[in-house]
Amino acid sequence: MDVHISKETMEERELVGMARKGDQDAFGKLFLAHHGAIFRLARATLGDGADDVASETFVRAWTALPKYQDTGAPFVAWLYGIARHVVVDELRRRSRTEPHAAVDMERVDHTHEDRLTLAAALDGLPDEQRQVLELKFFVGLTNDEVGAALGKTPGAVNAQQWRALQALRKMIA
Amino acid sequence: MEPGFEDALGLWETGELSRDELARRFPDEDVVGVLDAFARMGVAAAEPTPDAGAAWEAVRVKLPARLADRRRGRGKAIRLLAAATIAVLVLGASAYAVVPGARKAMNDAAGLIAGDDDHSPGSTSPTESTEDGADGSTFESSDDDAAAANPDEGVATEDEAQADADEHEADDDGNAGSNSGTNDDAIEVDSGSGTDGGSFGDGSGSEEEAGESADGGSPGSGAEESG
Repeated sequence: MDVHISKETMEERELVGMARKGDQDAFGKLFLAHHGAIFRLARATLGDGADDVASETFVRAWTALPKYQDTGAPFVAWLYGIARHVVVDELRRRSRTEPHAAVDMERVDHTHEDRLTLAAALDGLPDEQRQVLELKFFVGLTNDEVGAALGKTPGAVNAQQWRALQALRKMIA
Repeated sequence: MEPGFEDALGLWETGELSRDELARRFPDEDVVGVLDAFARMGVAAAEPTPDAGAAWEAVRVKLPARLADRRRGRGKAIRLLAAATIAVLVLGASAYAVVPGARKAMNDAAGLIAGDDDHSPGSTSPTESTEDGADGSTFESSDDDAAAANPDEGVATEDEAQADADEHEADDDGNAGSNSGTNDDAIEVDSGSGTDGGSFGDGSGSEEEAGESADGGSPGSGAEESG
């Protein structure tokens, strides 16, 4: 279930304000609005286990909400920052517990393999380019919003996006 | 990448430029490949996501209570305060046990707090005020005082001070010995004063300082006046 809240509307700001004060219902609405974005990011970067990563992201967000400061960037961009940390933690955990040699590639379905290929390619991009692609495609922000989140102009975001896609093309070709 | 290619791709993204037109304008660029990568990202992003409502119910029960967070913060402050208090008490007790001057100073302070008139600055006779001044100099005199009063020896070490204390106790005539600089009257009345001052490395104030200290009684004033 995806509840659409137009980004950075007054309603969302109000919800964030209420959630900061401990209103779980308000936080629930934010969860419903942005869970899909965080789940997509987790799935694209990890393949499986996206559910747990998305859940952990929102639990950490709830804990960190009192420190949240509205910088003008969409709230979901803040969630994205938390999600990236959770993803990195998960990747570290996996690297300790799941040696790559142990993965049975024959049991990996085609879609999952595609995801892993794409995830590896994204991971190989420079941070800024990867962030632009993730925020645009998985989180669903516009160039203006990505620019606000990363402190760049929309034109710079556009340039980064296409450079990133060219690099991605070379990696997955 | 040719100049203007990124801008043209941006125009294609917003529907202002067709794919064919893009390929025609930039024949040397891998237009097909870049747009394919764009499409692939779009496909990955468009995959269905699980029901957020069910996910929320699972997450909701995991959310820590904010009130508890505040209590944790308050508890941390209380723990810090308690630790600081314990540290002060331990240090004070150690000083009391080890440093004779500290013991005397604490006794004097306790006397002041208890309202003991003998220790109230300015409330006694001139002779007594000298005594009080000598006591006061325990708190008020600086190292400079000690150096001025006792230039040969400078600041007394703890062992020296202890030796002096023994000497004072044995010599009720008020020969303060090496730790002196305090007049004999002060020593006579309270031979421990000079000793205590010495144990801090402060030395005792001069007679004049002692008198002023008794009058003023504010910590540090002796040091200021002694220059």
